[in-house]
Amino acid sequence: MKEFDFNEVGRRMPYSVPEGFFEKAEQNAYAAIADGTARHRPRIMRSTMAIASAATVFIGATVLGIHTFRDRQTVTDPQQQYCLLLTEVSDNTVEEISANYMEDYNDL
Amino acid sequence: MKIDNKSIVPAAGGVVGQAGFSALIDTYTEQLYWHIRRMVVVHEDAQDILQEMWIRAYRHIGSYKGSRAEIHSWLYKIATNLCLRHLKRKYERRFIFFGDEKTNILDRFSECISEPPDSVEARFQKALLSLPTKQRTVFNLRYYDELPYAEISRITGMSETTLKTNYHYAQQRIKELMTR
Repeated sequence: MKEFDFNEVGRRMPYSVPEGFFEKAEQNAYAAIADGTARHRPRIMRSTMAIASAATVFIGATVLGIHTFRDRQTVTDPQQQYCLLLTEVSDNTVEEISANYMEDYNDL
Repeated sequence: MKIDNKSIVPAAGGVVGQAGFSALIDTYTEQLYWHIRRMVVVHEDAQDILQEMWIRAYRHIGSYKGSRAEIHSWLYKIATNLCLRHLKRKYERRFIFFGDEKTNILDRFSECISEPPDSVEARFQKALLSLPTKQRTVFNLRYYDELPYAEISRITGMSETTLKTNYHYAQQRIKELMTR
């Protein structure tokens, strides 16, 4: 089979652009620069905002973490366990838990 | 809004000089557009990347430390990096959302050509698009833009030996695909 010759295609491409595109593209470049420059914030300002956002997320995560940790600490006293359960379950299961709790509590 | 070229020139100093930035836009817009278009295929994407490229170039021209001769490579480097980032984001997404179909660059190709799909130009471009992105970038810069390896090395950050190997493999693969 005949080997492909690159000269057969040269630098021709199957793409085209709308008429007058390049003149318009130059104007668009100037417009984009003007617009982009207006929207561009100085690097120092962007860095400060990034640090402030990171600090907020860190503080939030720390507070949430402490709060969750405190909630999950082991409660050994049956009465406290009962109170915790009541805050975590729906009303429908309260009666059931109460019954079990009373049985457990009577065994003590 | 029509922008007067002169209104942006004073802020662009450094190596480029006072009247330089407008001259850069006038000189390189077409050539950079075609480089970007060959990389990303879709005209609208190429248009957006070209604009973004000029914005970046304008922002950083003041701190540009290279020589006047190397500014061409610098612009190509910005354009190439933006293309690679675009391709990665658009076609290598890990998560596909509802109603968002997975596409690849070859799926878009047939919608973007002005020649018949079985024309030699279309088949050649399709073969080129089937190459790995790195090989395709090297091939485009060497074959279409006719840049010397030293300049392609500045643009891509690859050694000249690696570039030559990539170009050779790209040529071989295209020959195979075009001979079928």
